[in-house]
Amino acid sequence: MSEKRSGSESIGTEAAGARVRSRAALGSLPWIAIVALTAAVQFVRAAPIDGAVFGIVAVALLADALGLVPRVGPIARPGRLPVLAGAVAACLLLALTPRHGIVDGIVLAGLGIVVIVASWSGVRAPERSAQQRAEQPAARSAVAIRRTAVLWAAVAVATCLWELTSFVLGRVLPEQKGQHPAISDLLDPALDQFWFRALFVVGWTALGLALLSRGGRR
Amino acid sequence: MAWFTALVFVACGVAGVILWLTGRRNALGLAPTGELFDLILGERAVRITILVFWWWIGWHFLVARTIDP
Repeated sequence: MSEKRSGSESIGTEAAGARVRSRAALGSLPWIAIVALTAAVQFVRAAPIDGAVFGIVAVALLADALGLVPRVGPIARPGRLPVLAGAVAACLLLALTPRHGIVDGIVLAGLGIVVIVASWSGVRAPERSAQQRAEQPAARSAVAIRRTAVLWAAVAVATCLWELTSFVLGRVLPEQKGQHPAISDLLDPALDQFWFRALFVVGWTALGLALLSRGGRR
Repeated sequence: MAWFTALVFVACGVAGVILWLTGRRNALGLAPTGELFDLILGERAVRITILVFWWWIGWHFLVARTIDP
């Protein structure tokens, strides 16, 4: 009797797990579509390396959603000091060496590998003491989170649509490209100035650190 | 017209900053942006997508050809 019950419980747990996995796979489809669409745009703008990066990521995410990628456990959270030292070194190299140079290429390739590995496996949540857990604020209401998500999505979609409009108008009406500058056209001249490039590098690195410190396996 | 295009990009950036600041103060029924990201970045597809976009911005502006010919 108890064996029968444990067998049916196990089947029930497996079925629940499968439902959760299929729901997660369905939820990942819009994100895979965004990455695939970006890959297509990169190929259209004759940037094959950029297109290949987004294309490979889209295929990898699709394979993961279909359950074709073996599950991997989260990696250990690295110490603050090595992360900060790495970030400072990357900032100095990116700001002080010539833009579009070999050093920038090596630093970005290295950062790309680190970020993909860390974000694919996820990072283990930090251990919290009983006191820290007790001091943690109550979970935000789902309504507040949803409202915030919708507003951020609206800002992101508006920015992307405006960028895409500028890009398409620049392609369709090349003689009027100057009238419809993309973000790249606006920022490129400023990035040739050392101080703006240094500011950009620091801001970009800080954003990356902030993103890496969020989410993961908690 | 170029100034209008740039103005829209600036407006999008300002909207993002206002949203971030408003969420930090828990005003207008908004949650802090960090809490939102804690939630959505728990999903691998979302985490990979957002971090690849972040990486590409660095690649695009610092390494690759930034302006299309």
